[in-house]
Amino acid sequence: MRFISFRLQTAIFIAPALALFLLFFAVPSAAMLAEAFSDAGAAWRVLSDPIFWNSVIGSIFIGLAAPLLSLVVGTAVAITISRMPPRRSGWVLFAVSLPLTFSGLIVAYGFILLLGRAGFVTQILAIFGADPATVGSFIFSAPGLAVAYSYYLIPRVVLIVLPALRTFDAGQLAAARSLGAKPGEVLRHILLPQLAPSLATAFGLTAAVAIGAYGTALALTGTSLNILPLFLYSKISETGTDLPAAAVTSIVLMALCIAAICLAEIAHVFLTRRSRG
Amino acid sequence: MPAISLLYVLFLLAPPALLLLGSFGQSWSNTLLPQGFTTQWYSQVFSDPSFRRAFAASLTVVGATCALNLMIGLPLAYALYHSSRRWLGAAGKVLTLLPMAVPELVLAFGFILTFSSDSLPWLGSTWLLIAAHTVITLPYTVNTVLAGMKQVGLARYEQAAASLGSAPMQRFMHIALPLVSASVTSTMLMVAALSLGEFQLSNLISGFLNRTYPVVLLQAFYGATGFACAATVILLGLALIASAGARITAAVAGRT
Amino acid sequence: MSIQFEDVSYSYPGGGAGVSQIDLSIGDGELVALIGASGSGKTTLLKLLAGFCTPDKGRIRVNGKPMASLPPEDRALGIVFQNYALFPHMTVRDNVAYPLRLRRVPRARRAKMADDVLDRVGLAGFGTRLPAALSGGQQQRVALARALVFSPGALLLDEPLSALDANIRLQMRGEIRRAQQAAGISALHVTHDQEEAFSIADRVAVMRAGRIVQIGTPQDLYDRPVDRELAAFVGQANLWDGRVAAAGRIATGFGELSCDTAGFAEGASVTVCVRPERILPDPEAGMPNTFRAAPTATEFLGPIRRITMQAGPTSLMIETHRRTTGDAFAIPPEAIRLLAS
Repeated sequence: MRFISFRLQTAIFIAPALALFLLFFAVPSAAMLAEAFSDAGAAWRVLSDPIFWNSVIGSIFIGLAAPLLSLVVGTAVAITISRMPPRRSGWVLFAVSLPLTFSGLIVAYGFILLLGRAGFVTQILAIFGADPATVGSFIFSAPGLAVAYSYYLIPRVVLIVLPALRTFDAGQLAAARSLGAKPGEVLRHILLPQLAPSLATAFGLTAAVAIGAYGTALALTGTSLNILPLFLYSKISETGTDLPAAAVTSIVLMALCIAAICLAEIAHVFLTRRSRG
Repeated sequence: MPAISLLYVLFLLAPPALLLLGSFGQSWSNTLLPQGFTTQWYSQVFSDPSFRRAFAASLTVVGATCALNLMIGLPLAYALYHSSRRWLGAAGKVLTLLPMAVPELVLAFGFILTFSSDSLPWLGSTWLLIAAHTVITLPYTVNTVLAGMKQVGLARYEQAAASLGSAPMQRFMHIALPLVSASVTSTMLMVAALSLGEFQLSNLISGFLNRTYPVVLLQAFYGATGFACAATVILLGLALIASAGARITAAVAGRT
Repeated sequence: MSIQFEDVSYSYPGGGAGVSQIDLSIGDGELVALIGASGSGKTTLLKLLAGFCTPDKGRIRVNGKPMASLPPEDRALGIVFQNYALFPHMTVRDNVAYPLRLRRVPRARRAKMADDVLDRVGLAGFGTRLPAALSGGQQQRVALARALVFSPGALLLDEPLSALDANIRLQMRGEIRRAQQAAGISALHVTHDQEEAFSIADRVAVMRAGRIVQIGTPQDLYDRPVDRELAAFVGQANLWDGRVAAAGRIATGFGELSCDTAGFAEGASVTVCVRPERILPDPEAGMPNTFRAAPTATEFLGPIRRITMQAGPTSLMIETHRRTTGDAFAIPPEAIRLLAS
């Protein structure tokens, strides 16, 4: 053992991960691509299905609404945490990031209890005259799903934005005030432009997660909601299904996720260049 | 800001709080909060054969996933830590972004296509489930352990050890492992929490006999509210315990 | 053009040391330096003036206008911050033009005004750079330009030179002083560096535990410190315990000194304060207050030498430009200042 060279050791250290990645990531991905191209008619069958297009629209909506909501709340929470003394902020950050480890099912059932047809908030609103049937159906709709998703997307936003806030020189805020900026102007002119690169990253990441996830949606709505992952899920889980069509759908789903990440990366680079030269 | 943050705290706490209340309520239909107090739902979950089997399956998968992460992820993180900077940045980026680009659902579909063939008939086996959990948790392990290595500044201690005559593998065993052990422990607890809650892959690739806890939990949502709450709270509680353990070990790691 | 604090008190909500009963008046075009150790309340005073804290009690006026109800952005005070607080995402010109933008000055005009001010601080041609591309001294000048471009009612300087190298610091001192005088506005300069305060200020206020313990010209403070601690804080000082033996006579560890004892009763304990450069080593015969002593150490500091002498139980420090050392020293009576102990 003593005389293994460093180079050999590095190779030994990387090999198992590489093998795992090849067999359980690259091969299945390749199989999926191969399946899509095995049947020339598969793409047409998918693209001519109106439910597919409704699902794409639903997924784009979720991929915009959930990140936007998460970004607004997450940034506000991150700013609050960044102003706390370090000891307290550590524990608050721990509490805020707890949902990251929660199963999507926990979130789904929790929200059924909170906002479902007989949910806690639904019943409270019913006391003030709101129709329980209307309020109770919200969580099973696309906007409702965006709210449920934000439960575990907000922590991601906080974890991305907080480091940027911590390196931000708070003296700038005082300086801007002394030069005549009102609190809103300080936010618009000074803080947000400098946070913009990390906000772009957070948006792309949360969008990709929101577009790709299906667990919470499945638990909330079965496969009745028109979003791409549920469309794909119903294709996969049915017996005797059209596998090439499912593979084409997978590619579209991946393309949406990749587009979200790439757009965010481009925005990140552009905004970084603009904010730092 | 403080107003939004305060509302957020309510938003954060409300679902787990209602789950907890519901799990101890005798009945909960068309009332604001559940009626009566009972622990029967928990005893029902504990005596339910499919939940017992799922719990055992989950423990096996979580344990093996952690072990594999340790055996594969830790050496990879160490190799990346010592590789050239350009390499490191690229590998880190790929590790972070690839899982985002390929959703679990798509990966599960790839698994179904690959491992239900006659040449690789592994679909439904426990060890395929373990491999799948390892693949999706490994990026987290590598990134976190790598960050831990950077934070303790492993390189200078290893350089000191090398000057004293320590060979590469000895430096890994004598210097690197002890220095990162606390942050690795913390990472493994987080991996345990992630693996325990994993639903999207397991739901499609587990066999009938090794369905994990979350997969069985979904069925419970169509039954009695109290039972569903109790079954969910157990999962929630285990995730909380693992996260808290991770946080505490991370705090210990930060102090040394 | 003036700044007035009238009986101002403030304590931090968390119980941190604030300031109490501050009376301070800074005249037209005057620069007052505020010195004190960290935690003495000098930065708090600046924050109160800038509007980042609101006094519990008392009034603050700038150019006769009460500040109490105004938020920071409406006070129109030019502040140079400790780390400059330049906005990293804006060019140098945009940084300087930012207060003008907030005041709705048309774009072309504010660019012109910003360039004019940059020209005046010697940064013509740097307008399109980002702050990160500038040296510390250049950043300092941008901060100064930004604080002055909108013709503020007063200038506030919060440890503006502490982040700079020693030689640039000397140069910037002069530039700040010139810019302030050209603008003709009152200025409050907070620093912990006594030498900096003395070189730049018309008057210096010394703070301790939230109060101003002495305020006066630099020479006042040096020659007539009000207490022992202040004498030690401002420059070097020999400080000995003594007792008024009789009118005009002080008993010390190495003998009796003759000096003016007005204001002290016979038998009172006092601290004798003598600046090291006022003691004469190797005195001529017949000078008053001459004592024999043995030199124990000599430090060569270029223009002067610092000699340590031992007289009986007392060790004393002498600074002289003479190149010879004898075995005696003399203290001119007018060099002796008595402080209550």
